[in-house]
Amino acid sequence: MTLPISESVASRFSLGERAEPFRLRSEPPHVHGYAWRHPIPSATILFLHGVMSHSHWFAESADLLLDRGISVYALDRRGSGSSPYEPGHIDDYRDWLDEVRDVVQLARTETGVPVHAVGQCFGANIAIGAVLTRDVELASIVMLTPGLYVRPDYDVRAKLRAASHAFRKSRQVRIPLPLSGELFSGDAEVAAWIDGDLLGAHSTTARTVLEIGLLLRYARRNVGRLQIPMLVLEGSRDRLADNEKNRAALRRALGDRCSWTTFDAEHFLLAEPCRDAVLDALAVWVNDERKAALQ
Amino acid sequence: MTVPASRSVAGRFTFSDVADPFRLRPEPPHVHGYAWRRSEPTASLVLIHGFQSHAQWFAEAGDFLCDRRFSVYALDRRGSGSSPGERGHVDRYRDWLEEVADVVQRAREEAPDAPVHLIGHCFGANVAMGAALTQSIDVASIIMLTPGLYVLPDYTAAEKATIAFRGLTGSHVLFRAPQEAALFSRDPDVIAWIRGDVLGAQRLTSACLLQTARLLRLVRRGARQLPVPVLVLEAEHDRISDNVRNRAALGEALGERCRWITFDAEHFLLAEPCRDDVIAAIAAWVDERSET
Repeated sequence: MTLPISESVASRFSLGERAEPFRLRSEPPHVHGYAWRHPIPSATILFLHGVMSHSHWFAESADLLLDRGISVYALDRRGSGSSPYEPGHIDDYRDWLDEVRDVVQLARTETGVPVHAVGQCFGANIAIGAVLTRDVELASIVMLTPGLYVRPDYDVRAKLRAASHAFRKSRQVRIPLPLSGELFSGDAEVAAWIDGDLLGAHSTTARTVLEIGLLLRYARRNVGRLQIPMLVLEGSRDRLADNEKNRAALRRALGDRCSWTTFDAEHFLLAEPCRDAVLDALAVWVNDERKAALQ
Repeated sequence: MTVPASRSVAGRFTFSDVADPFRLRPEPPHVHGYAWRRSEPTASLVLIHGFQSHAQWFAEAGDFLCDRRFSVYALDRRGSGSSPGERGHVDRYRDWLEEVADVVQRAREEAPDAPVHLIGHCFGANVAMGAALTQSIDVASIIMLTPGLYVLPDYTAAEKATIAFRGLTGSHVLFRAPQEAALFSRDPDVIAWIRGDVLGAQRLTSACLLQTARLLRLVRRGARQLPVPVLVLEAEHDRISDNVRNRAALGEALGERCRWITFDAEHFLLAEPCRDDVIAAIAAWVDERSET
């Protein structure tokens, strides 16, 4: 009947007193998110969540970054978290890129300091797509366990069905994501929390599978055109991101413009024992980039 | 591999473009919620969620009520939904009542001419009653959705003793709420959604349970002094609310000031097939109050 609460997982992913909800755009389509505003920020971090997650996954990290003098914005993509629209559905992946453009604009207007996108897994692909195709003023991109190449994949039958239903524009059939909590973390409590988390997307429409594929293809082909620096934070025991393929692709595309830090960790870096080291690495990176910009 | 989702449950509890997140109070302790605003509302409705729920449970209802020309405000109590605060914990039940007072004030500021009605789901109805009894708020009525004045599932005597002991020692150990998800609905999709809902408080501290008991005592004893009329929407097959005891207690305390409507439904009325009738009953009640 009783459960220990000293480090309850639910509390770690609950918003703190300093999280302030926001709604983007004066007219629909709206997008929701949370801001942790520092009165005199040294930099701003924009968290972009992964394919299954949402802004609450960054609740704890955002508070800790705020303590380091950094303002934080976390977006709930449409259909995820508290944002409107059908969960797990998108008509066009470019809508996600527009959302990033708009939240970066909000953050720049409010803080007046450089904005760095920190994309968790698939979220980093969206950051890449936004920088390359939209007028988005980002100082850098940080890939948290990059999702350019991931190991779990749909089987052939699932892909065929997704293609079939996508072309028919059917929303009646949903395709479960080939992901589960245990791939994100070795911590059974965190894994259970992820599996039970209904604010994220556990399944998507066939159209969304297709749009994810289109965005991935675009990001893989064009990442070399990025003109801003990139930091990759990877987990050495990641069972979700394909470290080898990501390294090969990003090294080939970006060379010295990409810095790497590896942690002894599983996929969900911000819920791992190395969390504080990850946050320190983020703070050092954005503050160094700030110094470089000032010089 | 594929699952049908013609009208997925998750979709029903997802906010629409109309829902606008808000944060109460310029300084901590903050409280979050969502507003469905009309430019000239005929009334403002403040939705107060139950023990385990949160504002998102009203995402669909908020839209439907807004379509009927009401502005709607759904609160996430501290420790629930998107609001800050330790999950499933409260130091004093009056904090909950002050939250209601603040959101009522927000509603009145935003639409000064619109009367404000409180709508409490299960335990939320107790919070609404407590606020009406103790806070300086101007509300036109209280609508109780499957009232939680008396509920059927309860802790055993041994569990109560443990809770009391933990409360005395100041422990923050969590106790599972005795209202299991399957008691809210017969719809397996809705049950699964409730069971997996990470934003609700399904586990509570002993302090929270003790404060809940104190609030219950206050509203049971004070119901007679309620200064506003009450509409009770009850579910015939409710396995959480104790319909017999609630009817007896409210009937005795309020007499003619309390109106009853019974639906052929389970506890979570707004997720039942009678949902549209429930919304219509709320709208008719509020419109009737506005006319008089």
